[in-house]
Amino acid sequence: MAIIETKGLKKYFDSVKAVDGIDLAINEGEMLVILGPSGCGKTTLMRMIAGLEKPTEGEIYIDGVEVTQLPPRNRDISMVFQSYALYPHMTVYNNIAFPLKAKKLSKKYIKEKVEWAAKILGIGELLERKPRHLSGGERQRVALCRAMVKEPKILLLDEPLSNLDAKLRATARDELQQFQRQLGITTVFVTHDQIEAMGLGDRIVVMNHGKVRQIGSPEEIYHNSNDTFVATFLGSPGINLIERNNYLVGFRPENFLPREVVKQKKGLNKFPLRVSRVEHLGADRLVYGETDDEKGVTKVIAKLPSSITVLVESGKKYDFVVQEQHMRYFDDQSGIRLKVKP
Amino acid sequence: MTLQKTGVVKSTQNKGFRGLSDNEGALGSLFLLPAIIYIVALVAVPFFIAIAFSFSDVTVGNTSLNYVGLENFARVIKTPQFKRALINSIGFTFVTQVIVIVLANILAVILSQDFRGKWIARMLIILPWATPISLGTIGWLWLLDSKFSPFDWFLVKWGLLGPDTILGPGTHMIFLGREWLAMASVVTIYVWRILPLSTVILLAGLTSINQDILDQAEVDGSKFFRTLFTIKLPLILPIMAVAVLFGIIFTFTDMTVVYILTRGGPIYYTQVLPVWAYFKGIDSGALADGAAIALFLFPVLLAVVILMLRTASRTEIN
Amino acid sequence: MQIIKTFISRAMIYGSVLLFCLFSMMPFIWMVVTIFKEDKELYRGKGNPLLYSLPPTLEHLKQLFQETNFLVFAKNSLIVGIVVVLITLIIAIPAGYSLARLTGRWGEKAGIGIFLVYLVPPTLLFIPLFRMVVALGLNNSIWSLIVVYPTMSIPFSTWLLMGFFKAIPRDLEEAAMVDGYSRLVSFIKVIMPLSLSGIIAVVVFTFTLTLHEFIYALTFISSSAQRTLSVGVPTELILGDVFFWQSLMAAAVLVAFPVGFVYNLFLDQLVAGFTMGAVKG
Repeated sequence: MAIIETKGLKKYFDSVKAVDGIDLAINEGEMLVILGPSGCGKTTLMRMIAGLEKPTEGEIYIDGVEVTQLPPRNRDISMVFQSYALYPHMTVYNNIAFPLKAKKLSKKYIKEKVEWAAKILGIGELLERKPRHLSGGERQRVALCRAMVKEPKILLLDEPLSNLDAKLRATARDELQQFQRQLGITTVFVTHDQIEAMGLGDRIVVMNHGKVRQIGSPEEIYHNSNDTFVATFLGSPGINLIERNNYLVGFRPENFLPREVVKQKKGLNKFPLRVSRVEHLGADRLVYGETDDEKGVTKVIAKLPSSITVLVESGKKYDFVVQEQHMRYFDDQSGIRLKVKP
Repeated sequence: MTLQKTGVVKSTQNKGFRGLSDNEGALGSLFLLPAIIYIVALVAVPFFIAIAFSFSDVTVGNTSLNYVGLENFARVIKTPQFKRALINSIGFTFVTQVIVIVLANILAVILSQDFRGKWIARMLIILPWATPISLGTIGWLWLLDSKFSPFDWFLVKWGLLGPDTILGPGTHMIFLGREWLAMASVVTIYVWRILPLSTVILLAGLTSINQDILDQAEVDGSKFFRTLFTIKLPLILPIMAVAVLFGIIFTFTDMTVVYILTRGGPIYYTQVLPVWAYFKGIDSGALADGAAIALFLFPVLLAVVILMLRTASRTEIN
Repeated sequence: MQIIKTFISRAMIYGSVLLFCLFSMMPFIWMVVTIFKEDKELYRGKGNPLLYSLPPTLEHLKQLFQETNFLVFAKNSLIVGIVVVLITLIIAIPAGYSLARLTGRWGEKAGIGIFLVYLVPPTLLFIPLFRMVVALGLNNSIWSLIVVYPTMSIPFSTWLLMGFFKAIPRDLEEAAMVDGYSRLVSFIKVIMPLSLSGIIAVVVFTFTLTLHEFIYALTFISSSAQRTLSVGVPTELILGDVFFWQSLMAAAVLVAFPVGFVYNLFLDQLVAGFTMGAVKG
């Protein structure tokens, strides 16, 4: 059963349509990632679910109850802000106890609860410190601890990893996932980072210009992107698109391989590639170049894993191919995926 | 989808839950209202009463208001005191600001350097601004006393004052008894009082300059004075404007210094508009005349305020 | 060479700082010297006036406390100051928060409007206000000052606090709202403690303003027992043409030095207010 539902949700700031009609159903216990470029309305959507922003139009239901007009405190939700928003004048203990104090619980109960939550996140040692004496990773845990201590129905996370450095981010992502599985708490996670989204999400909602472009599992949205926006936004680099008469051809760089490494003979799409530059990234090689097609020259990229050792040099011309099962076709006007080859 | 099924269940607590303590608009107005009421009742209302007074024949004894048109203004303008008070008010303010802005820039640049005892120096320098102006002026009154001024003693001792010296045969300067000396004394006290304020404002401006820009200038080979004149001062120009405008307002509308130091004297040579308005309006009870005199301050203030707003909007763009 | 250069620049800095300090301190030095002088010495007018030829005396300091209304003025100033500070806080804190967070874009314009009220000088308003005070029956009472002074302190304080509230990340009060508090309680529990230094700056600003104010205090009050320090000292310690210089100077110094010290502690916050946010600390 869906625990959060939005119905025709809209939010306009003056003439800017931050969120422009979103219908969403989030299942109980799942980790739903909202992914999109900055300014796509993903944070506004989350803030409306939290009750920090009033929708211009539409309704929000939590556990079957309409909450559209309710303030945040009556929604049984928690949120971790991008900045963590730890109260600088309170100790870690008081920060974590703050949501419980709002419920006017007994001191003894609050103490037990805070210690229990702190133990789960391994921050028992930090309780007497002030936030400014904590490292980035510790702050993130405290914020998470504060969010879960009141055991809300829903946990909202607004890019909580973006303030961590790259190395820390990977471990934090792992911890976050374990923690969420362990508690089984419904989690909505907003990010612009597709690696985070792919790694964490049970399902991913891709947004752009205030609208949902696609909802699905990470594999689904990556391999079966609904439209050219999703296809180019996901993957690094994004999908190669080649214009043809009245449709677009798309194929991912990792499926764009030199002719000689593909054993198959049939069902191959050939693209002559004039290589302009080769980047060695360790695990992969990125091959930048141009290909001629029906409508002229198009820039394309191939991503070759290090297991492919074929010599590719810039300035030379090679035959590259894409297997038919990896070919995607899109409408050249709307960008929407065409199910069958035109 | 399950939307329709669950969507119909409406919360019974829903109504009025987003009460006053959560309603931003209502809370915002409610929070602002007392301040606005206070200001309207005790600033806007008296301001309009002042205008009404100036067009009436009201006095302390006679509370009825009869419209007399521009009579008060006409009568006031004709007196020689008015001309002198107006010239003095503008002149004192102008001369004070010119001196202050030069000195304040120098002082602020000095105080922006690192040196030992800076905190004490800043405190001593701010003291004239922090002291109640009436008490500071009393100090000056005693410092400039006609008989016991310590300046007199030093001038005599250094051979500058007394028989056969440049400053004349007497052994006392009588600072407050001579037209030009009295005027210079008033300006000196204004400078003494406003200098600290302008300095700390400029100092705040200087210290707020992005260190990267100064580092860049140093990398580019700019020395102290070049950096000062081509980078620092142009960058704090808007803040300098703010300092000047505050200085103008605090000097132009002040009545304490002249009231305590000279009471406008000798004769009416150091008279300024606010003091004269007080003498007329309160001491002689001619409320209408007093209000009319005070209103002559308004056009200048209005101009200053407009300048200030433009400066503020310019700094916002930056 | 370098050493000499540094030495010269040091000497120039200290020399000019000393010069400026001397200018600022001139009246105060003369005040302090005067306080402890015997009448005989003070009015004899021979010898270096800054030095003592007779032993210093505490006589005039004693006079100030025992024979004048100085303590009454001090008490009145204290009462006026405290009550005005309270009124200012009660009105300016919500107003500042409202302008910073609740009123959106027109709040910014209203903020500048309120700030400009601070620039409306008492010299423009004292005559009609005198009339209003008389009509309310408050003349000759410190209550007239208590009612009128907030018009000077509220605008600047509101502006100052608005800046402080704006500097606190919105996330913090939103986090508190998510944590289960209403907007109002979030403000009280999270924003207020974090803007404590701004609130203290307002207290200092307002208190010194009430201590400085001269025109209203001179106009509204004529009985000695209701006067405040700024008017009481320069008018009541002078009898006709007779000045009690030593006591007068003692009174001035006793007020000026502590105020100057406290003012200096909160200078940076006050300057931030004066520069209308053009300078950020």
